[in-house]
Amino acid sequence: MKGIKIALLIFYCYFSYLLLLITLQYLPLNFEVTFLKLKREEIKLGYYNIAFFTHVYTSIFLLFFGILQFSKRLRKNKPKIHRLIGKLYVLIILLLSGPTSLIMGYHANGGNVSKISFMILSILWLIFTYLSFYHAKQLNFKKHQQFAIRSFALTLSAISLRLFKFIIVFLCHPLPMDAYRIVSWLGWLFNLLIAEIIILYFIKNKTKNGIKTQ
Amino acid sequence: MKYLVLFFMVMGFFSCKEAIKNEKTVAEVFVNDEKVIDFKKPVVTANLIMMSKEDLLGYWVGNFDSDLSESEEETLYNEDENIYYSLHKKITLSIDEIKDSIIKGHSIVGGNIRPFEGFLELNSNGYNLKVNEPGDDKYDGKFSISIGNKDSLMLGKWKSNEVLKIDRRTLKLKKRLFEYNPENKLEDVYTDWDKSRQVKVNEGSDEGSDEEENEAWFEEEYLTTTEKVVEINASTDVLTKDIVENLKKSDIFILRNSIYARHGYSFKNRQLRSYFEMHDWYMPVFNDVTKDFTKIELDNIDLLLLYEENAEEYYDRFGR
Repeated sequence: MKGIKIALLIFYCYFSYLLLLITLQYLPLNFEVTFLKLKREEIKLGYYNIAFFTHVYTSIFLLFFGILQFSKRLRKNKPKIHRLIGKLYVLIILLLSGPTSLIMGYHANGGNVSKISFMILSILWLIFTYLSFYHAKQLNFKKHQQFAIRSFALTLSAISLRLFKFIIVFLCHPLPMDAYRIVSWLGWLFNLLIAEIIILYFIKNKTKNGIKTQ
Repeated sequence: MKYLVLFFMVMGFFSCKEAIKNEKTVAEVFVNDEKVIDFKKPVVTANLIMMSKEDLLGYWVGNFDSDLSESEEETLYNEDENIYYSLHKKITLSIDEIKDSIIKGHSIVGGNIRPFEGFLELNSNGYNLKVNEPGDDKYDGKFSISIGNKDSLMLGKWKSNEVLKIDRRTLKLKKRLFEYNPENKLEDVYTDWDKSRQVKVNEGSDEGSDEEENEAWFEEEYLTTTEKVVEINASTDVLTKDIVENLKKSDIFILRNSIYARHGYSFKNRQLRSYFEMHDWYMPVFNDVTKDFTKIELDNIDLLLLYEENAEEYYDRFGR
């Protein structure tokens, strides 16, 4: 169990590092990076630029803050820090990263198929994150935990989307935009499925065994 | 078990790292930028058979095959299997100017454009041309060509100035009128026989048997386009972002170059040349066609180039 945990952590750190590299391509403010080069029309809209760079610069912190919240030691020994980081995570999503992702989703490549997917993803992300915060305030920690897991699962779609793309291209060479359309759905639906499985079986089992989750 | 998982993870790490590197580097793009040599555009008559001296003006297209003996060719084949391309070339002779007995023009072989100048002789049977290339290129030589009165076939010989593997060739040419037709279609997918990678092929492996016991060999996998290149005409269709973003890089590359081909661009790249030479309508006569592009073509080239530069190189075959 511990081995798997460490392996997962290494896995997580590595892909966060890759995402950091992607983020750093846009530092300093840079319009000449692949993704933006293909967004000539959208760049003309002033708000798209603001949304894009806000999303890129803030989202990388979510990966760092998010994983810390799952540390049992931190939750038990330093609940204040858990609360502080949690507030930062929620604030970034609700005010910055979330709304901007909705705007970007509306302008996504790949037509309505991927646009709808990314917009649903953004809306669910905002809702789950807010509910997680709301239930924490209500001291309903079981529900808080459930929605926190769902919110983080959607946060992780940043990694899974890119990973799925890599795997799908490697396995079956679809046309580039078809691949993008597929991963736009797969990237977060798969994560959400895993999240529900964890909530249903993993956490239930824990309480069954008489171990309190909080 | 644990080690196996770790192993795959490490492998995964390496391949993903590559993915990011690729995003950062902009792939090299073939750009048709060559020195432009200007020639006088001849006044071409529509006659394809020789009725008068003026009918010589224009483009004469045909085979430019080696004139070596069979045994000499065999020795060359033994040295190099790919010599076929060199033995059998295509040539375009453009006769640009005739002033009394002085004749000027240029030859195009494999994208190499060379001017020539010489004398025109008129005898009772027809015309004899004796022209020389300037001689400052390794592959320059002398042509001696003749065509009969009321004939449409130009026959001749070429001898190189320097010592080359293939130092003499025959010419068999017919006059062809160049006409730009945007409706000309690509007829087949493109395969670049120069760009390949080794792909490991495993003989159906039994479960449980050792890796080393399985037979494995390497097969060559070549860069190809999809059927889309046949469906789209980049000279007449107004391409949109929606179409281009779902094309593979090789498709984009060929669609862009098909515009050049329709305008008679003479490709230097051997693979492109032989691909377009499969098409009857293709006629390599110019080395700068950019001034002739239509508005649709200019816009399409702009869009295609944007995606070509930013598409992942060998999206389906290499890297990643």
